[in-house]
Order: sequence, then C-alpha cells, then structure tokens
Amino acid sequence: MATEPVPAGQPCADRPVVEPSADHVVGLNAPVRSLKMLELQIAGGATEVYLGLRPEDGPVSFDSLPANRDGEQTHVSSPALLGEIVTAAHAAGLIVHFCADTPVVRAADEAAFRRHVERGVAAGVDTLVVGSLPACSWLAGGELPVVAGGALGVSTPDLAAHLHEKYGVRRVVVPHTLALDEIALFCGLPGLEIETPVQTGAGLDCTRCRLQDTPGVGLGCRAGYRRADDPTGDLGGFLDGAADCALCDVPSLIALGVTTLQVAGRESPNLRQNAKITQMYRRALRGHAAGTPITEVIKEIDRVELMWQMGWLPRLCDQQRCRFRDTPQLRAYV
Amino acid sequence: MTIEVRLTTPDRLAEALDTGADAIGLGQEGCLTKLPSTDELRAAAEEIRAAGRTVVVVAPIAWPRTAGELHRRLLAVAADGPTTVTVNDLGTALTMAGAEDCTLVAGLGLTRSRPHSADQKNGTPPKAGVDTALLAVLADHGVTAVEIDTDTEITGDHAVRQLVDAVPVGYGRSCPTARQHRTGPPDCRALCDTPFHLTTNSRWQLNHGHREPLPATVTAPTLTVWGNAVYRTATAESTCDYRILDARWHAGESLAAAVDAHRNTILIGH
Repeated sequence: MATEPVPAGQPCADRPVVEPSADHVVGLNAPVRSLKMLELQIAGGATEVYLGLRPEDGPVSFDSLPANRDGEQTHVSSPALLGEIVTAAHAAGLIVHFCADTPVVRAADEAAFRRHVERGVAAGVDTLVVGSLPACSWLAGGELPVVAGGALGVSTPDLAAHLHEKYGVRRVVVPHTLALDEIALFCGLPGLEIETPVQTGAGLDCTRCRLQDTPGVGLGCRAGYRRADDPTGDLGGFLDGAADCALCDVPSLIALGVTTLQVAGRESPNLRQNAKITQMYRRALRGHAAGTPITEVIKEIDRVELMWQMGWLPRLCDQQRCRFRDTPQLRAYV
Repeated sequence: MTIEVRLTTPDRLAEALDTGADAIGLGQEGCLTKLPSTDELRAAAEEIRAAGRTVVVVAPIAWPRTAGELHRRLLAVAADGPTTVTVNDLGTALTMAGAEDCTLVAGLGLTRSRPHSADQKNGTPPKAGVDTALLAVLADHGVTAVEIDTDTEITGDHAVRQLVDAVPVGYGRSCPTARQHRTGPPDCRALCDTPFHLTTNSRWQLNHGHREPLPATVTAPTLTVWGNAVYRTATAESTCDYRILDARWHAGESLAAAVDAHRNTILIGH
C-alpha cells in the first residue's frame, strides 16, 4: 500500500492508503444506559448498542463495570427500562447486546447470575455478552447468540477459534491492546464476527487489572504517580500506555474485515460527548463508503467540529494516543 | 510440603539450587521477551532435573504476536522430561493440554480477574476470589492446580500454590518500564531487572476529565513495577503448603534465608 504525506493538523505518522469502498459494511456498537443515551447514540449513527442491567441484589455487578464509577451510574436501572430501551432500539433497527460479562462468577453468585441473564433475555435483547469461560459454557446452545466480550480476554486467535467451535460463540470482542496485524489474524477466522474497540485504551491489560476502582488509585492506568521514596519524583502517568484513537485507521479496519467497531463509555459522564465520538466514527465509515479518503474526512471534521479542535487534537493526536500508529506506546508492546 | 523458588531468568539458578528448594520456576507472567530462549530454558531445566528438583516454566500471557514462539518454547522444554507449566492465558492452556509428561497449573494471569461492585454509591471492588467454575472448566483441559496470591480467596477443594511475596495487580501490554526507558522489546530485556517503586499522587477523575490530587484522607498504596507487571505488597500470611518465593524480592543470601524461614514455618505448622 502506498503512503501519502500527513495533512496539517494531523501529527501522527504516515498511514497506509486504503482504497475507499462500500463493499464491506461495518457496524458501530455504542454504549447505552438510558433512553436519552440511546436517542443520542442513534443520532450519532450507532447500528448496535450494548448495555448492562442493575443486579436485583447482592454485592457484585454481573458485567464488566461497577455500578458506580467515579460517581457515574453504568447500569440500566430496571428491567422495565431495559424493555423500553430494547423496544426503542429495535424500532430504530439497532441490535441490542446484553452485557453479562462479569469476568468472574463466584460460586455463591451463580444462581443470581443465571437469573440476571434471564431478565435480559426476557427484555428481548439480541445477544448475550459474556466475560468468562464458565459463562460461555453455561449459555452455549441457548436461545440467544453468545458474544465473547472484551472481559473474557480472548488474546489469541486459537482461543477465539476454540470458543467458536466448542461453544458456538458468534462474535469475539478482541482486546483493545492489539495491533492491526494482530486483529487481522482474528479476522481470518472463518465464521466468526470480530468486534474491536476503537476509542479506548489503557496501559494495562484490563482483564487482569486489580487497580481499577481501588481507593487511592481509581483507574490505575490513568492515575498520576511519583517515586515512592521521593515526594518530588513525579512520574506522571507512569502506567498510562493508552492508545485510544483509531479514527485514521477506520479504512484499515474495514479492509481487514472487522464486523463492528465498539465505542466505549457505559460509564460516560457526558452522554452528548460520548455520542459525538460515535458520530466521528460514523463520519469515517460513511466517508469510506462514499469513496472519500480518510484524510479528506478528517479535514472536514477539522473544519466543522469544535470538539475535534478543542478536545481530540490536543488530547489524542498531539499526545500520539493512536491505537495503531507507530508510537512509543505501541513500540513498548510486549 | 513444597517450596518453589521462582526465577525470572537462569542467572541465579545455582543460588536457587543451593537453597534446597523443591522446585525451581523459570519465567514470569508478563513478557515473552524476558523469558529465556528455548536453549536457555532447556539447559536450565536439565540442570534442575539433574539436581532432583521439579522444573516449572511460567508461561507469559500470550498475544497473537507471541503465542507461536511461546508455545514452541514450552513444548520443547516439556518434550525433554517432566515439566510443570504455569499457564497464564486460556489459549496457552488449550495448546499445552495434550503435552505429554506435563503438569499444568493455572497461573496468576488466569486468576487475576475479580467481580466489580454492585453498590450504587461505592465502586470499591469486592475482595478478590478465584473463579472456581473456571477451574472446573480448566480441569477438563488437564489443569490440576492453581496459583494464587495470599490476598485472594479460594473456596472448595483445589490444589493451591501460593505466591508469598507480593500481589500482582496489573500487567501492561504496553510495558511501562520500556516506555520509561524510551525503548521496547527486544531491546529492553535487561532493563526490567531494576524495579520502580511508586505511589499515586493524583487520581483520574472521569467526570472532570483530568487528574486531581488525592484527598488528604486517602492512603495511597505503594506499588512495585518489574517490567510490565505491577505489584502490591501482600497483606496476608501464606496459609498453603505449596509456597512460591519470587527471587526478585530476595536479593543475595536472603533468598536462602527466606526458603529456610518458610520451611520452618511449614514444619512448625504441621
């Protein structure tokens, strides 16, 4: 593939040129926790949504987020509201994924977990997203397709193939710490849909992180650090190796054959900003389908979007927080 | 009662063999670059077997780029003789399931997960515990034991091996040590022999979009970073009769002393 010069205002490295095409339609999966959020995501261009439901009782969440993160609720508050969201989403032609992707189902919680899944099924969701191998085995062969969520940590294509063959898993959400060539290996697996996160990253492997939500740490990969023996030895975001933005590489992801792009943010404190991210990726997908090079799509975004100029460029582009570029973060991938 | 000394590389193998440990582990959960080469692993394993000790190889978490090479190394060592492999991802567990004369143990990379809080007002996670249903599924693939740290709960009747020195709390795909030195694999291999000790001084506040100073009432934990792995100090004593000592936490002669101390504890306890 040829490369072209990086346009002004886009400080990331040269990118491969992928010929625009409308041949492969890629979905856009966005987070939802309320009817308002659904409305915004539909307006932003989502074709699928994913959501979690507040557990009936008990101390643990049955998905991959706590009920409360930094003061923001992450769950749909009731089965009744879940039903309303599902109905509205289906009316708009969207697929609804139900997150039952807790990474651990403790023995004491298994019955409650199964009831929780039944509440999602009863609400009319379209798929069940799981986060553990036991949940995969429990729900395999049920009435709804199973998605191996990011929390399951499907870090190798062999594992993805195994989940598909043994449990009938329809889709795998690959880890957000994969490079393009690694995602390509997953896309080559027959019969399996591949979903990749596009606007999230972390220095740490989230599926194995015990820093999240710990008092005094919060999100460990985003916290600020100093040397333990030197109060002035500021280390900044020492664990923050995040590679967030994949906008420039949407054409590459389409060319690889990914099924769906996933936007993060069930815990988002700003619903409109979260839907705006969805809209950015919708612009990229639509532009590609219309035959517009991604560089032109981004020029147009740069011309009209205040969020891009004030938020995206300084916080992502200028910081080289690129999902798939040749950056210090990616050069340090183990 | 068994004591295993775990080495990241064979550099301190002679010293570890001198301690009288029953088993010697080679490797760590985090990084293939740090794992000894096939030749180094095979030679070290042979030396360990010749000394009458059990060989344990700790498989780093596999990624698409590293899985093939990792599995080649593991299978090569296992083909030479009795080997215990600590697997840290499901893909590696599946690959090694059929290896002859190979004992499989679920490592810390497989037991890190924990549920999240359902409390509407407080996101602090519940105490960590091993997913025993996962162990049941892994048993179908030949995994016969599980490694945990001392701060993790486990219920039921399982063969448990306990790491006594520290609690891993995170692994980076993007290695913080390599980033700090402005390099990456394979050039960073020697850099992670020296740890970083750090503590938080600010907290990411999602709804404000920036880091904020920690409240005065919050006590920040001290973390130690070896390569791409992040550890906290263990807060609980070991309760298990298979104990794993990580040599990185015991410089020089203190390694032998630590082995003796645990051996004595076990003997007194029994």
